[in-house]
Amino acid sequence: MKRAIESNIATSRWGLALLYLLILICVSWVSYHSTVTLLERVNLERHTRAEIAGLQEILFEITDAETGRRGYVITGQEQFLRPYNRATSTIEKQLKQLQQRFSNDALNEQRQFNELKSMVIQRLSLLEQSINLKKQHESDDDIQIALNAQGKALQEQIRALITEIQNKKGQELRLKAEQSTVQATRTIAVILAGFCLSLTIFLWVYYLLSRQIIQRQQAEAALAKSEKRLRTIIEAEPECVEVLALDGTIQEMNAAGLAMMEANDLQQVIGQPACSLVTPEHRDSFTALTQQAAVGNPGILQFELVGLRGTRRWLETHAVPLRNEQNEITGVLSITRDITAQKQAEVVLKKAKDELEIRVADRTGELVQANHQLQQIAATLLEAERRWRSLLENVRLVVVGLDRNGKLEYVNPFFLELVGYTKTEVEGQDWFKTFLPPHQRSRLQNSFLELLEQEFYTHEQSIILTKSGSERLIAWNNTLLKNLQGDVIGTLSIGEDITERHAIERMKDEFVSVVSHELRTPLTSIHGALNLLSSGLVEAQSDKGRRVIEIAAENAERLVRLVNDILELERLEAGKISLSKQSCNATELLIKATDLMQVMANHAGITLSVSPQAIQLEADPDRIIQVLTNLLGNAIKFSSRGSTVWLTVERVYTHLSPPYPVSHEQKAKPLLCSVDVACQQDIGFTGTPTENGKALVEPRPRSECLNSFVLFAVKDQGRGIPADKIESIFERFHQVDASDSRKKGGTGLGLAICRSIVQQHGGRIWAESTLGEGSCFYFTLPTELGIGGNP
Amino acid sequence: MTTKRILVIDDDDGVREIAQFCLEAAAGWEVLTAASGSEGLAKAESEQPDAILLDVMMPDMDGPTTFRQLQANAATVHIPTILLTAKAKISEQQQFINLGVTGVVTKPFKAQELVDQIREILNWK
Repeated sequence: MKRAIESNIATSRWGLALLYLLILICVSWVSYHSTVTLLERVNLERHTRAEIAGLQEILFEITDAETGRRGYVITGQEQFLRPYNRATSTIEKQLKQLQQRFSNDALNEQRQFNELKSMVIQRLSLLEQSINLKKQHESDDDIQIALNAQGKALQEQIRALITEIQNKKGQELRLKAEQSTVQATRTIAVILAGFCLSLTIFLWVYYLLSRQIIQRQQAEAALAKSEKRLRTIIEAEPECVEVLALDGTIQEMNAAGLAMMEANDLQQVIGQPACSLVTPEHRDSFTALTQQAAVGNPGILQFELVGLRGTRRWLETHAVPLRNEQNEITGVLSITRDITAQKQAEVVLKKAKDELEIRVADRTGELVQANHQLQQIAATLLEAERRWRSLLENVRLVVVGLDRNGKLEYVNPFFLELVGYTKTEVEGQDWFKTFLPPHQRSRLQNSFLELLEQEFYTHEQSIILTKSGSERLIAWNNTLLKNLQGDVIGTLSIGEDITERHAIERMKDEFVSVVSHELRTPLTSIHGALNLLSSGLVEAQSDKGRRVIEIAAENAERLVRLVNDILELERLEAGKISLSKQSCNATELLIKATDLMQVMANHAGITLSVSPQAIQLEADPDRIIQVLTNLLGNAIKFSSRGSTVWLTVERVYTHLSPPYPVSHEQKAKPLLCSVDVACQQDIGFTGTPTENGKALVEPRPRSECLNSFVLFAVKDQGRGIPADKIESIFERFHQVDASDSRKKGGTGLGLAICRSIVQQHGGRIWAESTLGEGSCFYFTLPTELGIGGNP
Repeated sequence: MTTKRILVIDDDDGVREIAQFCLEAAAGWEVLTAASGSEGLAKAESEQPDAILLDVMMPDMDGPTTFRQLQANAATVHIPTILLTAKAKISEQQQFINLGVTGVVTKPFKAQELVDQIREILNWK
């Protein structure tokens, strides 16, 4: 930088000096030229003035010569010729001088002078002629007069010519004087301008020089400061900074370098070869590095060094050539840092790297294996997804997916089947408004919001509305649906239609309650009776005692019947009683049943009317006889004395298989105990529908019927069964009048047992009745004949 | 001391008779009987017994219904009523208590125990 500053300063200085000199030369030349011109003009002026004076003198001399001639002529005295003589000699000299002066003038001036000269000479000649005449004494006046006149005229011409020339010269002189004045003024202006310019340049140069000096001083101060700072930095530098001579000896070194060398001071290492402390195996490389740097090739080397106190260190040095201002290499600058820790770390790192590579290899193997497992898992997941989807599509459970707003996003086919809607009809619908009864909406919406906000799974039961408006009870298991980021996006609920199960459970509860009551009631009588007797409160031999014993006995018998019927019914319904089916004849069954009930009928005063037909059927005869006797027993019990009970059998046909279709809703309900019109047609009956839509059955074989059944009927003329109980009488403990079981000696299970037996035979049982007119109990059993068979 | 008169309403003949014998023999009370809820309502109104022993499960009109009608009738509302039930569960008995009956006794029963229970319920010395 310093050199650059100095270079700039020198360039400016020389430039300004050259400019200054040039201006001075210009000013000097202009001054010289003006002076010379002025001198020339002075000489010319002097020359003109001399010419004018010469002409004036010639005129004076001519006049003097005339005056002398005239005096001589007049006086004849010689003394008057002296002015003449002097004048002529002077005029001659003057003419010669003027001749010389005019020789440098313009040609017209030279011509005018020559004209003047000839006129002067002519004048002088005339003067001489006059004088000569006088001298010759030839005083001829006339001639004198003529000469005078001629001379006078010539004199006037000379005068006029001289005046003209003088005027010309005077004008020229004035012109030249003016030019000289202008020239002099211009010269003064040029000199003043040159002086001002020179002064300005001088001041500018002075300013520049002063500034350059200040800048140089500042630059030198900055340089000194920078050098000091650099040295401080170098000294404070934790890395070794050393300067080597071209021969590789140490010239300078900072404190860090001395510490690396384990030297106490610089004198210990100055002048020593830098490679002297380098370990032998690295010495050649180190020497080559410094030599290369000494010829201008920088380089880096890692080497090991043994300090003066024997400590081994790994160092890394960066050697670069050191140049002077002339860019000549004067030494080698070496910057060295201690990399012992790095080397040790490298060793550790290499060891770790080796171990890592081993681990990587192991891990890679594991990853390959894991990848293989993942592929297997993916395949498994795919299969699982397919299975889940298949499960969702086919499971007999309701699956409903809602978004966060309670809109339907997904329903499975079973749901659609259950509610009777199409997928298009339900998609995007509000779940709560569309499918829930109003009284449940608020509670279930709150439950839905709690599920979304608190993220716990809920189990609940709720009623949903089908398209037809019917209600289904669903047991829900609600879960949250989340996206990949874990955000809740809705719910997925799986529900089980527990409508039938719930009804069955309610029935079971009722049944248990009824059974409990039915069992406890006789037990209470027995227990109370025995307690009265055993406690002595009632004497056994007294009338009251005998009545108590009778009550106990009746109820014990009733209890036994009840227990037997309950157990039998349970075994029947559980399928634990196997039917011993065999080919039997309907007529035989009717006769046996009638025989068994004949005593009871006789005792009750009832007439049994039997209409047998020889129809073969596959059945357990004992069980069918049990059904028939039960129905006959009921008919006898509820018929008034003197009335008739009819027992008939006939074949009927149907193309239905099983005989009566069982709808979804009917599954959980007791089988209908009557035949509706549609069913009559299906089973080939024709009959007149009664008011309640039922029909009395009349058999009518039809060629298109494929299956045949045996239809048994027991008809009485009893009190009849109310319409609202016509179906429930086949349920357990559902007598028309509960007291009947006690009054008539029944248990309330007889018809339930009949129904179970008939159903296990693949048949069906039902009743028709008109209050006050009587009842008719029907049941069907399949015949032995197969499809399309004939009687 | 006036003999207590108690009306036993039960559809089962055996239970009704045994209860009657028990109350007569063990307590010496006068026992009226009715075989149904409707018969019991009529007798309660006409006979004005000191208490009613009412069976729960009856076919035409069950015990709770009969009790509500007794309570609805100004002529019978004051008569303390004890339900006779075969339901032994405390929760079921509590339902009957909640109806407002004076007490509940369970089947089966022993004569003296039945009397003692009724006395305790009705605070009869």
